[in-house]
Amino acid sequence: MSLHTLSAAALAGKIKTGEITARMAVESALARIAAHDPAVNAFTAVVTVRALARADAIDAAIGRGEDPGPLAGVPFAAKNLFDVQGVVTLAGSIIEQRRAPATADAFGVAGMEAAGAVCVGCLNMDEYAYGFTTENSHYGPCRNPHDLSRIAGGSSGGSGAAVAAGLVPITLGTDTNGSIRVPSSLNGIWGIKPTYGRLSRSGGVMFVPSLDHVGPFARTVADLALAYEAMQGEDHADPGQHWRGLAPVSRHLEAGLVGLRVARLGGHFARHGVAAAQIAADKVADALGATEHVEIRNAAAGRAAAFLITGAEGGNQHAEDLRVRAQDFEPLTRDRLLAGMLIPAQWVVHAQRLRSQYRAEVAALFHDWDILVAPATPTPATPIGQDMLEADGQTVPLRASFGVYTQPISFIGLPVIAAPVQNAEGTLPIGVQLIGAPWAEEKLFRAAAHLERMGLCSAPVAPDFR
Amino acid sequence: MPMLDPARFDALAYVTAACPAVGLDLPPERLAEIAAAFTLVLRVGTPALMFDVDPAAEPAPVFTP
Repeated sequence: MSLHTLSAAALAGKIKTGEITARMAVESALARIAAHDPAVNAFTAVVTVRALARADAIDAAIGRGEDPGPLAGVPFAAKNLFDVQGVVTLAGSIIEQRRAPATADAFGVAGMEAAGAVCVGCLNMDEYAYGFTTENSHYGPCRNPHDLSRIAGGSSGGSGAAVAAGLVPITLGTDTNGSIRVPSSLNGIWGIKPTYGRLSRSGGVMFVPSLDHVGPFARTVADLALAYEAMQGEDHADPGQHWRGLAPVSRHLEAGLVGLRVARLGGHFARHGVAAAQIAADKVADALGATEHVEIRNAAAGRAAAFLITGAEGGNQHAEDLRVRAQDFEPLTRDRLLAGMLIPAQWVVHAQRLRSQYRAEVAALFHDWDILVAPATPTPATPIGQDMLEADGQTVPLRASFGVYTQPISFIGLPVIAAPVQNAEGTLPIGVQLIGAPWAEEKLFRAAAHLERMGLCSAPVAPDFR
Repeated sequence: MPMLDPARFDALAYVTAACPAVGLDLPPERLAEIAAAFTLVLRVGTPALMFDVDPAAEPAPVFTP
């Protein structure tokens, strides 16, 4: 039986009925990682002893007649900025190597394990989450399972690649400016960046507190929903959390599109990208019944303001290390963080005021619409090392451009599901953003499940890894 | 009135003057590289800096979506 192509829900079902054991599922994932990760470079740590012990505990619980949870025995892994007890939280840096191993799991990791899942390791990323490509010179570039010469996106590149390669069915990542949605798009898998404040971020190395989100990746909408539910819970340790109670979504997946008003975002979101990005968004919009285009008039200003806040908060977050050991930072990160330390307070406060004004502008759109559709990235995965992007008649710096469609949305904390469209440009996939009003994740899941049932959006294991 | 006056802004002079204010002690050859990075910040950030923000808009950095 090929366990690596099963969904997490199917795997948990087989484990709970005794068809297979949790140990078999975890051993299968560990064997896949050993065999295939050298090519992909998604993992920075594998926690074999811990994972097998946890799997045995799940099997023992089932043996006692207990229900270990909806993700019983399902292997998963977390971006290596989440604390995993016993592992040094590297956050893609060598500076963090001097820290002691984490003494407890991050809130999101603990939530997954409380639902029965089994953490098997930690995942490659851009240093301190400041990038969109995971071309990490400390730990090597993460490679895209659809084409190993191409990037896996970032900053949660390992999280995207591990799922697309069928190493684990679920991973966890973070998204400040697009770091869940970009790797979802480039690896052709599902990802959700929930509403800002929905999920606790405590236990790990975050990047930009006023913009950081956490969320899961998966190959099916049902798995994404299970992981999203598992990561929920009130946590006073995260001052940015706005706890509103549990918000289950799995029970709504069959609800269909009835009552959902969907529009395609035009203007800024119809420019800047290659044809494949726009065509994919058009197909998804059509499939969801969208007949109108609407605009976020000040999207470019919103994106620019997110960029300023990111630089300033990110630079401040690492100021002490930048003063005393700047040479130890990743070259792609260092000078941007140093420049960020120097951004005037006047600019940052101006950007925050813009954020409030812009949020009100976009909120008005949701009086008329439930879901807005836009591309997730301006291009499918590009070759590792590429510096510039030609799109829409312009040549622009590639790495910063990956956030052109994602930053104007996360800037104001809106929830987004990235929906994968396979073979969008040759054999490469690309993602489409389903954008909702604050706290309306359930509607996004309904639309995503509809797209999956139609067959337009799916996330099978990448062909060379099946 | 816009925040930024691009015609009068000198990134290298600004970076050179501002580094000591935040405890950065960089050699002269690095100042030019940081000024180049700051120029990129300026370029990407300009649409925000040129945006006419309502002075009554809330400046709090942590917000409820």
